[in-house]
This record gives sequence, C-alpha cells and structure tokens, in this order.
Amino acid sequence: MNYVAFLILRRLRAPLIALISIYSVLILGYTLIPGQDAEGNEYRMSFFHAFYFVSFMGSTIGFGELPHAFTAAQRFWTIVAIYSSVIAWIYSIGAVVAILRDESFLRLLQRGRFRYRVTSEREAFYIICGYGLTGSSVVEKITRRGVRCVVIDIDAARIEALELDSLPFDVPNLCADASDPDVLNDAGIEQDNCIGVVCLTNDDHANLSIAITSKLLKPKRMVISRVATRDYAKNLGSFGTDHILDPFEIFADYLDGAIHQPYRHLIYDWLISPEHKAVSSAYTKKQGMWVICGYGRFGKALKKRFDQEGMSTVVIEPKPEQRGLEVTEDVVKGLGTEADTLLEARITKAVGVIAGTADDANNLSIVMTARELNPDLIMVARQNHRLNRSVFGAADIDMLMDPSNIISNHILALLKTPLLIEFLDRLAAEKEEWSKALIESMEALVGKNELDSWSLVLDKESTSAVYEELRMGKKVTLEDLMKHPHERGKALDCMPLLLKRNNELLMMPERETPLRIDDEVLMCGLSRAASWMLWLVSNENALKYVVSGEEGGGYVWKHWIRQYLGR
Amino acid sequence: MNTEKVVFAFFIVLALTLNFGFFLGEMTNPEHHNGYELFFATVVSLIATVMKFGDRTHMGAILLATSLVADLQLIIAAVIWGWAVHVSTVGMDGAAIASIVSLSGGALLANLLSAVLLAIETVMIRR
Repeated sequence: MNYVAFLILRRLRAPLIALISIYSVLILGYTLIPGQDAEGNEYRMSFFHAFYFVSFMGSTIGFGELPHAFTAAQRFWTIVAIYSSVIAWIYSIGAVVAILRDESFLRLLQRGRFRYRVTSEREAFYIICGYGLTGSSVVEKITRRGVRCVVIDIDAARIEALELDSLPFDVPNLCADASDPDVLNDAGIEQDNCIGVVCLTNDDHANLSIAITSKLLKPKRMVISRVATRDYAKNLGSFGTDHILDPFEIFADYLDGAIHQPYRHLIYDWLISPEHKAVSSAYTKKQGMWVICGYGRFGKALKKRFDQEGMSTVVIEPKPEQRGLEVTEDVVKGLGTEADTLLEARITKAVGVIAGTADDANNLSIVMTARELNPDLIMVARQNHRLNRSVFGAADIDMLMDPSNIISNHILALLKTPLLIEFLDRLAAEKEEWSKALIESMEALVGKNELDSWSLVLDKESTSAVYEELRMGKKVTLEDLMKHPHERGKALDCMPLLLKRNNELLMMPERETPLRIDDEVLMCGLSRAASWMLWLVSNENALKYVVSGEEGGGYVWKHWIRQYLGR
Repeated sequence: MNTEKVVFAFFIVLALTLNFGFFLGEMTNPEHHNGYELFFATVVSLIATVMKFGDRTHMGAILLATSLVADLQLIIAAVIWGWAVHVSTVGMDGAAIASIVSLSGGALLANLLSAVLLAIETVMIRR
C-alpha cells in the first residue's frame, strides 16, 4: 500500500470511532427503554429493530416510529439520537473533505503520481533540477529535440509555470527540494534509463549534493552543474562532475574569443547557438583599450583574460576598496552611468565598453551614455533579467550577455554530443586561417539555416549496420556515410568535424578515412542530413547500397525504396 | 507511558474478554449467552479495528488482519441471531445458538491471537 492510503486511514480513525461509539450508544438505548405495542403491552426493542431504526434515523431517511408507535421515553431518546447522529455525520464528512483539501495529502498524491510516471518511463531521460530561466530554456530546447526529461524545482510557482509552458510532450514535474536523496530517488536517479543529471538550482550547495548523489550511485553517468562561486567549482570538480558551468567564465571566454580569435569565435557561435551571426561580423576592429563597468565576478573574469592577452583596460567600480582595487589611472570610482566618470575612464579613446553590473537599468544607462560620448564604441552589455530582453534588443548592443541563454545553449551542446565540446576545446589551438577556412565551408554548407551537429559511435547498439560491415572486414569510409541512402551519387549536406579513435582526436578527418569499430565521429550540417545518416548507419541494406552500389535485401525492401524514390 | 498504547491495549483486551464472556456456557442453551454481551463484543472489536488503521509496521498489518477476522465472525453471528429471532419460523433454537456461539468462538481465537501479538511486540520493545 502506498503512503496515501495510510494517511487517509490514519486521519479517518477519529471520525470512524466517533460514528461507531455514537451508533452503539443509541442502539443500546433503544433496546433498554421500554415501549408499548398496539395492545398496550410493554415490550423491549430487539437489537435488530434498534439497529434498523437508528440506521434510517441517522441517515435522516425517516420511515416513522417502528415497529410500534413510540412512548414518550422513546421519543426523548430519539431527540438525543437525531442530534448526536447528525453531529457525528457532519464531523466525519468534514474530516474526509478536510483530508481531500489537505496540503500534505495533495503533495503526497502528486508525489505518488510523479513516481509512477517516472518509473513507467521507458525511454532515456535527463533529470533537470531547477526550472528557473536556464532550466526552462534547457527543458524547452531538449524537448523540442524529442529528448525526455524530468523536472524538479523547490518553488511551486515555477512548477506551475512549467505546466503552462507549451512543451511538445508532458514532462513529469515535482515541487520538492532536489537535494533530498528521497526526491532524487523518486525522480528516477537509480533507473538505468536516466542518462544524465543537470543541476541548475540557484543554490550551489544544493547543486553540489545532487551531483554527489548521482556520482555515488552511478559514477559513469553524466552530471552537469551550474556554479556561481569558485570554491564550489573546485569542490564539484574534485569528485569528477563531468561539466561545471560558470556563466561568467563562459561569457568571458566567449567575449575573449570574439575579440582575439574572431573566426574561432564564429565557429563556436554557429555550433552552439541556433541563430548565428553572419561571417562578415568577424571583420570588426576590436583590438585596443576597453572600459569595464562593474568589477564583480563577471568583471574579474573579463579583466583576467584581457590582462593575459596584454590588452589595456580601465575599470569603473563604485566600491573599489571592497573589491580589492586601488584607485589609479586605470581604476575609476563611480557607476559609469554619468558622463564624468566615463570621460575620466578615457571613453573617447576606447574601442569598447562592457556594461557588466548586476543592474539592468544601470547597464542600459552606461551603454546609452557611452554611445553619446563615442559613437564608434563596441557595446557589450550584461542582461540580468529575461523580462528586459526587448529593451536590450532595442538598445542595439553588439554583444549581449544573457547568462541563462549562454548556459542553456552550452548545456544543449553537451547533451547533443559531448564530442562537440571536445572539438571546441581543440579549436583554441588552431590558427585563425584554419578557422576561417572552416567557417567558410560551413557557410557554404548551410547558408543561413541552423547548423546542427551530431555524433556517431560505431558500436553494436547505436550503429548496428556499420558495425556488422566492419566486423566482416569490409571497408567503410566516412564518405560512404555521407552519401544519400537512396541515391549514392548525391551527398548529404554535412561534413565531418572530428574523429576520435583510441582517445586521440583527429580534427577535420579526410573523407576517405576508413572507419574502425569504436570510432566516434562528430558531424555538422543540416538537421535533415542528420536524420538520414542516423537511419543509414543502422540499416544494413541501405548501407550495402551506399558502400557498393548493390541493392541488397529482399523484394519488400526494393519495392519500398522504389516507391519512396518514385514519390 | 504512552497513552495511545494504553487505549489501544485496552480495546484489544476488552474485545477478547467480552468475547470470552459471551462464549462461556453450554453451546446449545440460549439462556447461557447474553445478547448484550455479543453487542458489546462486536462494538469494541470494531473500535479496536479502526484504531489499527494507518499503522505502517508489519506488526500493525497483522493486528489489523486478525481484528478484521474477529469483526467478520462477530457480525455474522449477530446477523444469524437477528435472523433466528425475527425471520426464521422456528425462532431461537439450539441449532441457531450453537452456530452463533461457534462463530464467536472463532472470533475469540482471532482476538486471542491479537492479544498474543500485542504481548510479543511489548516484549520485543522491552528488549
């Protein structure tokens, strides 16, 4: 039996005992009080008649005085009986209604339903802890890709928001504290089809305990955690959390890349975010002096990178003493929203300004004031609240830092394929010319459409057809996989980015490279090509056709393909 | 001392003693078996059952089961009594009272089992 039934029974104890006691006292009373029958003889009601009378009287049906008209003494007792039984019933029914409206009872019901839905889930799913801005954005993006997930959040308002958000399918959700192992257990953390845990709560400590729980139960399962402070980042890393995301560090890297390696940055941007910038945006002049407003976590992360690159910066900070800064030529005390402070920070000579305070109104004011003083500035602004999106959009800002969007894009890339992040890490070591050539071929491939990326692991489970061919000693090359399964002369709109073999990474592998079992391949291209390729690698007949040109398989298959081509 | 335990044990033991009192006497002699005693035995047994509701322990579940058995036997006995007195043409005879008493004897066993289980549980807590 589940908790709910126990709770109801427990709460029903008092009303049931009250009903039984009152009924038994009433019945007993009727059997003891002497009555008179039609002939005037004295009689005592039997238990049978007493029970009958009390039953219909208690439920106020009222058949009259049975089996004979009552005496005055019996009527006295009946008055007592009427009122006491009505009160007993009101009390009992009231107790039942109170249970049905009870918070803890409803929570138990929801919990039970949630547990049931998670255990009956057959497909692979992710657990997303925290449904704030980032969480909701991640959930929306992964459900659009057809991936299942389970959401836990401590705030009831956010769970209500989830129910209102129009997601492509029902997402099991629970309003509870995700750092409680019991809750995680109900969310399916011990199930084999739970393939990853994403910790996005606002509390670093909660993220930490979720990550630890998952790593202890299944060390191999992927854990992604957002983190706000450095100490927790180290702590998470110490027990092997797969990906630790700090929005400020990620955006600092992103901005740093945009300034120093514009082409590499573009590749990153194209692969990570669904809407990408035009290739021409890479030509903007970005080298020179930058003004950083706000020296919090974000400002610090940026300044560290600028210093590493040897670029000069001026910091504007209202409380430099608290942040451990001394007011010098390069550190100005103030908000940055007034022209004086910006002029003191030599805004007229700067190439760009970064409005990185924790206040959206201030950031906008900085951008607007700075633009008046120097119209050629590159504007970078930090957006703290999603509601302000339209205002920031209208401000015509070159680079907008929206932490929740950055993190959710990054997480989506990780969930799509971990190879992508390995590829992007390796990209840093490549020269700009190389990146430029790559971004140009990407543009030729997809134009203005979204550049999708996916990976293939050549093993028995995910790519059975290729695995069989390779096991038989046949030769399959990368190029074979990129042919259209219905017309082998036609190539799919995609290109290989990375080949991982025995933990060695080969960037931009040649198309003629013969494949081996257990290779991992990262591809990019149109989503359409992805679905063809994923079909091809697990269909033996289609694969034989693209490799050798022979149409293997039975009559049915041939008939089907002819029909398909004839469309 | 736990008041809840006292009340609980009180009802279990009272159900047993009332049941035993009704059961005592010659099987086929209606004079030896008081209807009021059967009534009280049934009511107390019902209350004892309700008091066991919502106990999630294994012992609680067994106690609930034995108590339900006792209720069932006593209610059937009461129904037979009513039937014999009011419906049947022969009235309350030796055969009717014998089956009522034997049913209450079954309930007595179940109540006895409840009491033994209660005693065992208490001993285990002491240890």
